[in-house]
This record gives sequence, structure tokens and C-alpha cells, in this order.
Amino acid sequence: MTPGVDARRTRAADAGTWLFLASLVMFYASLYSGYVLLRAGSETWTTPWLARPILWKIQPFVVSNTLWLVLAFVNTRQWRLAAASGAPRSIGVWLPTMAASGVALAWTGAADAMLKAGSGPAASVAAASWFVLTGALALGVLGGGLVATWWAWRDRRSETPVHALRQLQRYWGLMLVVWFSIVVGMYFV
Amino acid sequence: MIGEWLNRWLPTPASAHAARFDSVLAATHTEGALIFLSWLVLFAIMLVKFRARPGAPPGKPAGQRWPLVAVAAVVLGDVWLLAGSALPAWFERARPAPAGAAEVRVVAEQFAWNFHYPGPDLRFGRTTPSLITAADPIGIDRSDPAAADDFVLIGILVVPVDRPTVVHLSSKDVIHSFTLATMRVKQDVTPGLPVSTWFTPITTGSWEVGCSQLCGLGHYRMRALFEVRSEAEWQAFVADEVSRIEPPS
Amino acid sequence: MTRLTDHKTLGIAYANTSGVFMVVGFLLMLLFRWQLAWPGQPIPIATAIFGETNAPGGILLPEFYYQLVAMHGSVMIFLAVVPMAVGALGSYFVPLQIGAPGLAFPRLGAAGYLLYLAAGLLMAASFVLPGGAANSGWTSYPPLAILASSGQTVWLVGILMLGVSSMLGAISLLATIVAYRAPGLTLMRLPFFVWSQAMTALLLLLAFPALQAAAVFQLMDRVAGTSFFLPSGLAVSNTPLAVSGGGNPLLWQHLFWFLAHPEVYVLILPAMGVVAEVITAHARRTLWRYGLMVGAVVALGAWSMVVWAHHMLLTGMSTTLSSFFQITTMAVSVPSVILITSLVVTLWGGAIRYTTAMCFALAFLPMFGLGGVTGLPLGLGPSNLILHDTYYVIGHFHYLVAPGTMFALFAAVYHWFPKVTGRRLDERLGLVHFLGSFVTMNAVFLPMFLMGIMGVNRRMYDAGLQYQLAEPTLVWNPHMTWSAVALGVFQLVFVVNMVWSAKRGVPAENPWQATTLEWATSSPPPAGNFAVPPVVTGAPYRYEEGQA
Repeated sequence: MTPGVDARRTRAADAGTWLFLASLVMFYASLYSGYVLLRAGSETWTTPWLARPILWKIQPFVVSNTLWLVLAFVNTRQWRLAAASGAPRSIGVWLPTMAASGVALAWTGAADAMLKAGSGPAASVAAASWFVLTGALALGVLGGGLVATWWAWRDRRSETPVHALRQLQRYWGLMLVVWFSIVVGMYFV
Repeated sequence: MIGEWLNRWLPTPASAHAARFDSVLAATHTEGALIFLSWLVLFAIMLVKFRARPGAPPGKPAGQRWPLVAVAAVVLGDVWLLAGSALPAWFERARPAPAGAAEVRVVAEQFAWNFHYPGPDLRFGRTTPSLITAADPIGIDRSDPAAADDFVLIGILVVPVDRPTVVHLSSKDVIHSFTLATMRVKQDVTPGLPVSTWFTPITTGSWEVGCSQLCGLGHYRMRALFEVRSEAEWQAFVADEVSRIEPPS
Repeated sequence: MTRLTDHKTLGIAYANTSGVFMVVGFLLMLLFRWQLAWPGQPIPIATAIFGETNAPGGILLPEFYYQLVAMHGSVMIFLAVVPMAVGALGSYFVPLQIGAPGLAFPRLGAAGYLLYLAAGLLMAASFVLPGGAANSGWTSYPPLAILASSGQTVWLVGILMLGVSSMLGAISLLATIVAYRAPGLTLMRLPFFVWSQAMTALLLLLAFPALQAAAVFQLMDRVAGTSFFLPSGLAVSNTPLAVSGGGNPLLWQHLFWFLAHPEVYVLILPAMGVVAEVITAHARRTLWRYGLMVGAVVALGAWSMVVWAHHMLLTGMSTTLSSFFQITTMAVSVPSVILITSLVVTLWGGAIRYTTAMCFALAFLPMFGLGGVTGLPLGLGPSNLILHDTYYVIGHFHYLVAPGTMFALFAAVYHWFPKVTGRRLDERLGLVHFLGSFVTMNAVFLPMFLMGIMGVNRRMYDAGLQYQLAEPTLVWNPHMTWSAVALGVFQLVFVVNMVWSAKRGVPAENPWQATTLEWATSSPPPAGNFAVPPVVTGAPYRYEEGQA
């Protein structure tokens, strides 16, 4: 492989990731704008909190989700910096994997609590919005976790390319933004 | 010219605003025809003039400027259509109906138009879904004094001439579109989003109410009778219908 | 067997599959055109083919008719024209035109095709479900679509898969254009076709997610009992619906048209790109004002994302909002006019060779023009009110897509067939195909404008038999249906031509003496496309050189 070919591949991968992220932004933004429009147009849905009693039950989900996602983002950054400096990798590269499973588990728990409290998706548009928005995020996080796992396994005896890690980091950044938008838009407004 | 040609085909313009709406249609078609036909002539000339001929080399390409004049003309035409024709007519329609209008509630369902007339007291009585019967698909609550002279007709809309009529539209099930072609009235009826529109018939006649939005398997037969009668005939129609109201048992 | 990871194999796979779906979409249309021409008359063998539930005694039931209509639209747009214009032409010719050895992400491209194939088969198979395929129009407006039979669920899953498929394809194509252009091939030296494909891919990438989000909502409404699109107090046949309510049916329309209007440009832009390639090569002319055209195509793509609500002018939105969308709609006509003007002016002073490819490309211009000018009255409130949901609308968008985009696709086949097979299509059969298609297409669609002006609504199972105002138009329908049949016969000529010419056609390397890069390699191109990687030193169209 000539360096020229490598440079082209990196360039294509970079462009491809940006385009993928742009498409994902449009997807989450469309879901979110659906939520905003439905809520703005609703006459009964004026409480600032999703559904107060149930919120307290799923609060651990909110806290642990935030922690896991911040950890995954920070850790991907550490992973990239380590790869860039040639420093030895640590067990920390598995953190995105753990974060993803943590988020998925926490979501399942929270969804279960919602269902048990009679706030299933069919109960109200508010509950349905919660299920769709957080569910779509959980799927996105799971997907990111799978990619991170695959790379960590594939490169267990070699170096993961720095530019690939930079893209993974961007992906986790997007997940973090989506999550904060959900938290602010659903719980605090 | 284009306007006259369109008038030969359009449904009878029988409302006060129909002529104005038709003029927008004529204006858009005039601009469209001007652009299309002049362009077509130029195109045809070029097809003949610039055909490949053995031995003859191609000529000079077009100048860089003059075709842009045509583009600029189209832009000006668009501005004229918007500002001079379409938007003024559109905003005029958005004004509230003048006082003294007749009012009818229209409740759409698969696949029928139900018309709720307020009767001589001009007030709509309460309706309750639990009172719905085959004869009364909107469930008038006769215990409400305002409902005493209300009557419901399935598939028959009768309105007075030369007086505005306000229609209050709502749907029970899916999206329908309330269409009075001769009145130039068309309004989507979305469940959960009641909406009103109004028109002033200027000639008497007998036409039809149509549904313009796919509403299910019977969409094609969701049609109702639509009659515009003279004021006196309309009063007689209301009195006749009121006399037929059965007292609550 | 060559592999799908080769962009040429991929392009041909897309072409064959979308060609089959085009025939499927066409046959669905013939069926419902029979019903429109002779409402309630039995079709001789229909019961044997479609069963008692769809066509008892050979008579098409409304249940079946509305499936045919909904699936004709869905198949033609999502499974036939877009995969042909983007998947087939884009995958095959964009790498060649930029001098690349292949696509940047060949496996993504192949995955995109397989997802498209799976989605297509799934949607086509939904006809055998109880209740049949989707029947709420290709627009699938709720609440109707939520009450519909299970075919609608399959339709939604298919749309989700197609969204992922087009995203993968778009990423692969755009990354290729960004990273794999030949040395010296700057952005302003790209053939116009590449620009049109790039803009199309960008539109698919950014607009399709809105429909996917909407499909997620509608899927939830159908299978999880949510009420995103269901308001409170719904009653079907006076039986209250057991849902929580609180949703809004118009939210679907906003999300749907946010995709579906750019989708119109997804159908049109590749066609414009093809026409630009064909006109330049067959009239021996450089594109008139290439830079302006590139600007216009970018502007058109960007602007197409802020006009969507002109499909919703009669939903009861505020006058201010609807005026805003009327203004944006008029503005979007400016770049369209620039593009079409540039294409026509390109002919000026040229030496037009009337090949079949050129005939189709030239015919595209007035057909697209007619579709364009009939968009004017539909984009303005008062005239839209008269014409909304009438046959005028059907005429308008078919002129853009059927004699419009389809003619450009035919032009592409005649123009690039020698590139793909090394042989030319027969020109005499081509002329028959062109003249036949031109006459019959217009005979099918031209009367629709008049029907619309007379107030005849679309989506009428009985062609408007119940309506006074439709009465004079009923006698036109048999003629239109016969024209559609004849249109099909002329396509048989085309199919015969392709099959025969692929084996026996006149061998040709670059029969049009075209100067764009795809012709700089042998026909068909070898694996890896170029024996010697090309280096670009100038503009794509160099037809005036040595002739001045």
C-alpha cells in the first residue's frame, strides 16, 4: 500500500463518518421535533415533568445513563490519545462496551418500571414519547458499544488507527448530545 | 384568453370569491403558457437550425447573458403571481365571515357527510356520542334548550343564496376533505382539529359535496347533495325540517 | 460470478432489480386503469390470478383497487425509479466519471443493495397477507393508515429498511466523490452528472431520516398501541377507538413531506444529470454556464428542504405559515428554470445528432417543462384549492417523473449501453420505442390536466361515476387505458432491443466520441476500471476543441 492510497482511505472514512453522523442527527432531530410538536400542541400535557410519580422510580436510570455515557465518551478519548502516543493500552478500552450494556440494562429496568406503573407506551403520548426517544437512544448506544467491542477485540494485539478512534469519539459525542437533549427536554422543561 | 378557455371547463363559479380564485388560476396558467410556448418555439427553431450536417462545423455557442434575461423574466412573473394575484386572494379568504351568516356544522365520517343545522334560534345544541343513533349520527342532546330546534340531515346540505354560510368542520374518524367545487371551497377535515370556512353563494342551484382526501375503501362514494336556494325557500326548508323534529320520548 | 462489491456488478444488479420492479409497478397500473376505464366490468382471468377475495367474478373490489394504487406509487418511487436513477446509474457511472477504481466502501454499497432487495421483496410479498398490501396511498396518512390491514405494517418496515439502504448507498457514493477523484479532477471539473448524483445522495441522506422517524411513530401506533398520530375522541363506525389519544395526524404529514418533497428532487436531479451528459455529447457542445448550473443544483437541493408544507396548504394551517411556504415554493422554481434554460441554451450553435439517446434527452426537456409550469398553480393557495387532490396533480407529477425522469433514464440506457456491453442498441428499434413512448405517454397524461380542472378527484375507485362533474370525462378513460396498454407494447420493443443488442448489436467503444472520463477506458471497463489511472487536465466537456 502506498501512502497515497492510505490517505485516500482515511479521507473517505472521515467523510463517510461525518455523513453518517449528519444522517443520524436528522433522525434523532426528527424524533425529537415530533415530541416537541406533540407536546406544544397538547392541552393536557402541561406538567413540566414527564409524569411525576413515575419519574422518581426511573431516576436511577437517568443518573446512571448520564454517568455511563460520559465515561464512554471520555474513555474513547483516552483510547485515542493512547493510540496516538503509542502508549500501552489498558483494560479501559472495554469501557464503551460496558457503558453500552449498562445503558441498555438501565433502559430495560426503567421501561419495566414504567410498564409496572401503568405508564406503558399506550398509556399516553407522553409515555410513548419517552419510550421512543430513550429507546432509540439505547439502540444507538448499543450499536456504538458493539463497534467499540469489535474494534477492541480485533486490535487486541495491534494498534487501532487513530482516525478510526476519532470517529468513534465523535459518535459517542453525538449520543451524549442526544441524551442531554432528552434529559433537558423531557425532565426539566 | 387562457382564462376564458379555463372557464369553459371549470365547474360553474357560483360563489362570491369564485371569480377571484379563478383569476389566480388563469394568471398562473397564462404565465405558464407564455413561458412554455415561447420556450417551445425557440426550442423547435434550435432543433432544426442546429441539426448536425455533414461537413458543416458547429457554430458559435450562445452568449453568456441573454438567456439570463429570460430567467429574470420568469422570476418577475413569479413575484407578480404571488404579490399581485395569489396572496391577496388567499388573505382575503382568511378573514372571518361577515355578520349575519348562516351556519352549519359538518361532521364527516366514513363515508358520509352529516349536516347539523342550528334551526331558527341560530344556536347549536349540545351533542353527546352516547346519543348517536342510525337516524342521528351526531347525537343531539334534546335536553339542552339550544338543541330543541336543531336538526340533522345525512348527506344533504342546503344553504341560502346571497348570504354567507359558515361551515364548522370536524371528523369522527379519519381525514376527509370537504369540497364544494362550484363554490371553490375545499378544506381538509382532520380529526381532532376542528376548522371553519365560509362562502357566499351567488346563484341558486343543485350541485354536490365531495370528499377530496382518501378516507378508506368507500372514499369514492362519499358524496352528498348540495343545494343553494332563495332566502324564502331556505326559510321554508328550515321551518319544514323543524316541524318534523320528534319530541324526546 | 462477479461480486456485488464491484461497483459495475452492483450497478447492473440495481438496474435489473429496479427494472423488474418497474414492470411490476406498470402492471399494477394497467390493472387499476382497467377498472377506471370500465368500472365494475370483470377482467376475464382476474379471479384465477388474484383470488376470490380480491376479484370475485373477475371484478376488482375497492379493497384490491386501493392496494394497487398505493403499491403502484410506492413501487415506482421507492423500488423502481430511485434505485434505477441513483443505485444503478450512480453506482456504475460515478466512479468511472471521476476516474476511480471503484466505490470507497464497496461492502456498504453491496449491503445497501441487499437491503433494498429484501425490502422490495417484503413489500411485494405483502399482497398475500390477509387484507393484502398497504392500501392507504403511498402517502399513508394516519389515522387511515393506522386503521389499515397488516400490509401497512410491512410497508412501514420496508420504508425503514429502504431508509437504511439509501443511507448506506449515499455515504458510499459521496465518500467516493470526496476521496477518490482522479488527480487533477477538481470539483469544478466534475461532469455535471456527478454533481447531480452528489446532491441527490445528500438529499437522501438528510431527508430520509425524517420519514424513518415518522415510520417509527406510525409503527408504534400500529403495533404498540401508542397515539402519536391519533387525537382523542376517535370513533370508527361510531365505536370509540380504544386508544389514549392526544396525538396529532398532521405531524405525520409534516415528517412525511419533509422527506417526500426532497424525494421529488431525488427523482429529478439524476435525470437532469443524464440529460446534461447526453446533450453535450450528442450536440457537440460544452454545457452552457456550467458554474451557474452547479450553483443551481446545489441551491435546488438545499431549498427543496424548506418547501414541504405546500402539500398541506388545505390542512387548516395559519395563513401566515401557508404564505411562507407559497413564497418558498415560488422561489424554488428559480434554480429549476436556470437548469432547464442552461440545458436548452447548450444546444445553441451545436451539431445535434438525432440518435435515440438524444431524442429521449431532448424530449425530456418539454415534458419536464410541462410538469414544471403545471406546478405553478399547485404551489399557490387559491389555485391549489381548486386543483388539490384532483387529476391535475396526477398529471403534474407524472409529467415530471414519467415522461420526465423516465425519458432521461431511457436516454441513459441508449447512451451508456455501449459502455456497459461494448455494443450499441439498435437505432431503428430505438426510434420506434421513442416515438411510441412519446405519443402514448402524452395520450395517457395530457387529459388528466383537463379532468383536474373540471374537478374530478383522484383516488376514485369508480373513476367518479357517482359525481355529476366527472360525467363528461368517463368516456376519456378507455382511451387513456388503451394508450397505457400501447405504452407497454412499445416497452416490449425496448426489451427486445436490449436482449438482442447485448448479443448481436454493433460493437462500439465510444460511438458518441464523448469526452468524459468513463469513455477513457475500454467498453466494458476492466476490473479496476482503468489500466492506467487517468490524470485530468481540463474541463469534462471538450467538444469544441479543434473545431473552432
